[in-house]
Amino acid sequence: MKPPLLDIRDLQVCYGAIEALHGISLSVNEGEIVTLIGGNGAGKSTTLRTVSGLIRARAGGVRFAGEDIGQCPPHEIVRRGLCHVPEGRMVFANLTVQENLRMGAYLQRDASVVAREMEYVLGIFPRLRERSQQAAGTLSGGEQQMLAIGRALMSKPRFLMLDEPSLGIAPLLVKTIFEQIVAINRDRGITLLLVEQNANLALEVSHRGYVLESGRVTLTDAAAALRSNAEVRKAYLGG
Amino acid sequence: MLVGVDFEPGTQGGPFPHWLNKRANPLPRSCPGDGWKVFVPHSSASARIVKVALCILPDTVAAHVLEVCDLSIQPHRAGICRRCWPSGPLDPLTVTEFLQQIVNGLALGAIYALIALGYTMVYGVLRFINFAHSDLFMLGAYAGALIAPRLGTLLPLGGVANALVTLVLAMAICALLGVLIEILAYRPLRDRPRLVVLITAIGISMLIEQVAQNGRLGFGPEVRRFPALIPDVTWHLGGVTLGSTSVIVFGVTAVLLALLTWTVKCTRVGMAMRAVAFNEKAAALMGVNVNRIISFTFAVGSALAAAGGILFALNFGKIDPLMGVQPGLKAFVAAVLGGIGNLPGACLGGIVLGVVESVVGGNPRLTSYRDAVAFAVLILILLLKPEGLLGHRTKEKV
Amino acid sequence: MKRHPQLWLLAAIILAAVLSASARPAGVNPYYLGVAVDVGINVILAVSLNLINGHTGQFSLGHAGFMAVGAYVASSITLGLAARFGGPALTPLLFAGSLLAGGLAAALAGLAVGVPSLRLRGDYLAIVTLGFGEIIRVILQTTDAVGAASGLKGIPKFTSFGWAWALAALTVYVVACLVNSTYGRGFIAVHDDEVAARSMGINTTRYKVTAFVIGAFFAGLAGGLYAHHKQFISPGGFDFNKSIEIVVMVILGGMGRTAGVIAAAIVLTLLPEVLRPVAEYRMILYALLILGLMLARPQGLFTWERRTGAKPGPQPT
Repeated sequence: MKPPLLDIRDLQVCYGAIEALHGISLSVNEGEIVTLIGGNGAGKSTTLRTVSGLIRARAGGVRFAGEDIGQCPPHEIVRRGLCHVPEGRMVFANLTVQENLRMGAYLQRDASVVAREMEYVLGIFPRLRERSQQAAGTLSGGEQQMLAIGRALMSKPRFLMLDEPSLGIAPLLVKTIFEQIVAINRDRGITLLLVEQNANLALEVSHRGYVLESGRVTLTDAAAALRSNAEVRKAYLGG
Repeated sequence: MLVGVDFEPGTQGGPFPHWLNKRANPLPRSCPGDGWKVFVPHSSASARIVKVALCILPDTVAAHVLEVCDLSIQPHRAGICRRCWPSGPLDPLTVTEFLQQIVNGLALGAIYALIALGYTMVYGVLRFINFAHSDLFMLGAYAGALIAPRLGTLLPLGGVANALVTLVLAMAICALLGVLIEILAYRPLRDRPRLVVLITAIGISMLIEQVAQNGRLGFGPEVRRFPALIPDVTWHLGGVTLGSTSVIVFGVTAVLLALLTWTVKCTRVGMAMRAVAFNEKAAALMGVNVNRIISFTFAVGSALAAAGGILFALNFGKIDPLMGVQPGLKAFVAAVLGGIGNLPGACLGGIVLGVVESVVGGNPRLTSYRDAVAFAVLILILLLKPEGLLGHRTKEKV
Repeated sequence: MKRHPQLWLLAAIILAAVLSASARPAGVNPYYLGVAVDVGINVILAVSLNLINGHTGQFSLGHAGFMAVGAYVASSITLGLAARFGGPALTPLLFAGSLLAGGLAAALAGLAVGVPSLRLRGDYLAIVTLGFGEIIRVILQTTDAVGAASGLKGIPKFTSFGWAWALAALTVYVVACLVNSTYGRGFIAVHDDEVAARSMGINTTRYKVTAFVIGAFFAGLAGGLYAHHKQFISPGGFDFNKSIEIVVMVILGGMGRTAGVIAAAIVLTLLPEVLRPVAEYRMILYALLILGLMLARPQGLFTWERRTGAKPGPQPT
């Protein structure tokens, strides 16, 4: 069996004196969509930020494609094909939509590749094409989310991490976004790790899921099984 | 309207706003080409008010006022057609003199703009004021002073070419120095509170200045002459003199600004700089090597400061280890004036400040307050529009 | 120090009086006495700046400006009135009066600086205070009435060891009482988190301005003492470098720690004397000291707590 594309072992992360992750382990196989669900402050975002290099772990290991990335700076991790769309989108409000997308392809030197990827992204998110010369700060929340995802796609990643893609976005747009998430996984084979408060929607599109509580993994199973799990339903799926 | 009021020697010139006198008004008809000379017995407050009033009032009314106040009027003694101005420290600025101040101010402003750009770029990416920036200005000038003569002997270049090569070399040296300072002093403190970094910057600035002043380790505290690299040519355009150094200042500044704008707007690196300035973490997630971009920013900023230093030295002809202190502070004010973090703002701020300072400095009465102008502007702008002329207000998130 | 500050104050004043009585020229080398007076003055300066920088967390780089105001006002009064009230009986009164006037003038300047500083943070505040300091210097430099660039000469030597140390003790006492009182908690609240303090109903405006005014007052006192010690003042002596000297004392002592700041003031006043053999490199060593402190031990040399002020862990985005 192939080793998982992303392999997290006993990850311990602290904010100052406060321990946020108490040694969690999770893995994502190539081609999968995996979801992390859990309440506020459970440590979901912390996990993603540690993987992408924004935070350094106190202990434990993160392996990507068989290599240890725990000591790598964020830009190196991007170079290896792991992209993180952070919570709150973090689009560059002072740059245009097109420039944001170009920033996504920062590491790509070949202009024709960049142009091709831009066509692809503008194709799956047509609303961005309309606004391509606008400053990103003027976009609505949903459009910014699409821009953020599109930006991450520009670097042709193997692995994409999305932190709360549905937060604060109109339901119709959420539907579009999740359709695209499924599409990029299916058409381009991109592996996905999702963090979502909207557990229902996330588990619908995922293969597997992990439940995080107070910095610990309390449950992991196939997505369908989690959805029918009574406790999970009560806690996260609204009964 | 009376053109001006002359005083009997011994009385004080009043607090005339001299701009009143600048209006090119015809002399009173009764004056045969000369102005009025009004004798006022003493310089009491009421007399001062009278003097001011006489400047603003139309002629006929003024004549009545003079009668009422029992002041005598005599035609000007010398008989030469000249406007009468308040004698003493308040000399008038004619239109051409005013234009001259503007031209001088633009040259000064261009130099301030070059330095201000460095401040604003570093603030944009690191959110901190690099106090040591003004010392790179000074080091650039000294580098130029040391390189130029040696270059002259090595390569048979003409005056202007020699100057340009010197400029480029000095810019390169200071770019390296700036990066060195960043790596050694500022990078280790990236996560510390801003106060600590600010004080570190002050420490570096002090260190550079003190070493430079030291006779044994540095250049020595004395003022040195800067080699005259540009042939001294002056053009006269309708009463305004334009020196060759001013032309070089304008030219070099324009070229550098164009280069900078092109870099920031059209190149990959420039886009990365703008991204890092906006959100460092997000830029890192795009694969941007943030450290390298920050170093690059320092390099560019320092190179611009060095250019400013050499242009300044060309303009004024001398250099000393503390030459960067005042221009540095003023350039910083210019950066704040235009909106810190905003590149066009830094240019605008520099030019505005340069012109204002030049106009104030040109007026003999106010010339000693020349240095205080910058600080007055600073306080005004921070009180009225702290985000600067071209800046945007950002709300502090709770 | 916190328990019975009054006792400490009394002890300090008695000590100062005794020492000044017994240290008549016959007893101690007047040069060392002069240095001791310098120490006292610097203690006042450092502790007063500490109130603004350390306790209330506002970064002020123009403290020398307040000192200048106090020095010039006090000197002007003394020089103006010394002829008429110069008798030995009235001298202490005259001196106290002029010092007080200098302090009050400086306090006014502190008000002028404190009010605009209300909405500024960190770097901007630093620059504005620097600007004010420079403006004061430039104004003094161009005002002929106070000697312009040449300054004021021939100021009577009223400052003695007793005066300097008694006032230093007073300064420490007032600041310590202020900070340790319930009212004083406000200063620390403003320092720690201004937004939180405001949302708790603390009038941060009042605290910030109070810090400036009181800090400026004592700096003015120090200025008056300085003027009557050196007997000559000029605007150049109260420039940015002087402000930095005082700031370094506060940092060396650990911002907010009164005892540390006093120790730092003593050390940094004596340091030039100690470094006399290498006087040529004194300022270079001084700069290296600042750099070393910031890179290695930003919490100051005289604090014993864990390094504070490091940013908490990565913020949620």
